[in-house]
Amino acid sequence: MADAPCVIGRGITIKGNLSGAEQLVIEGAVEGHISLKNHLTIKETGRITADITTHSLMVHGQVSGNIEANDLVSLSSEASVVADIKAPRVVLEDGARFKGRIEMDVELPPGV
Amino acid sequence: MANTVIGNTIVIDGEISGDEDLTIRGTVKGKIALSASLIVENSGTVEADIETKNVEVSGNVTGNITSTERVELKSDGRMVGDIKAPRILIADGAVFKGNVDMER
Repeated sequence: MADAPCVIGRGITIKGNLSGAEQLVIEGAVEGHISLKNHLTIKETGRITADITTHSLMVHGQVSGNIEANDLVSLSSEASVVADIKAPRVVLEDGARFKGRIEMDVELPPGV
Repeated sequence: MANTVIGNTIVIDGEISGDEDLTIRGTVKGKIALSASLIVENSGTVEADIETKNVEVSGNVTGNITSTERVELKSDGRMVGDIKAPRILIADGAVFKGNVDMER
């Protein structure tokens, strides 16, 4: 039970703040804020209008809002995202639709 | 399809609505409106007004419940609030404070 991720099903809509420390899978709709200390997966049917702070994130669905992650943010080929992303690692797969800024905390080489 | 489970460490402050069964093991504050069944498990804490078809409470609920079918307060359930539903069950051991309205 502890290993099975928490799932917000496709028939569910949450408006408000969502926080937690376990893996979360969203198939439904969330409006507000998401703050997670673990891996977040947004499935194809997921529709998120929220600022997201998480450890890592995989998007297959729709996200609009700002994303901040401690590790990897990955937008799959089905993803449709309008957001500013701040994370050390960001992956955009072929087919992913994205509009926004990406900030990877790169150390600029001297002189740049 | 897996039902929605709000896990132990999850805290939701706001409004949950939907048409599928929902199991709460974590904390929900605000409002819950479902056209399906709600289960508040032992570890679950709900501070919300609840409108749903069925409710099964084994955890803590503070708020009013309006149900179109059935409300069941299990033996380890603790609830403060008013219940309005056609069928209401309170098991031996459950702790409840509030009004009960069974008018159909």
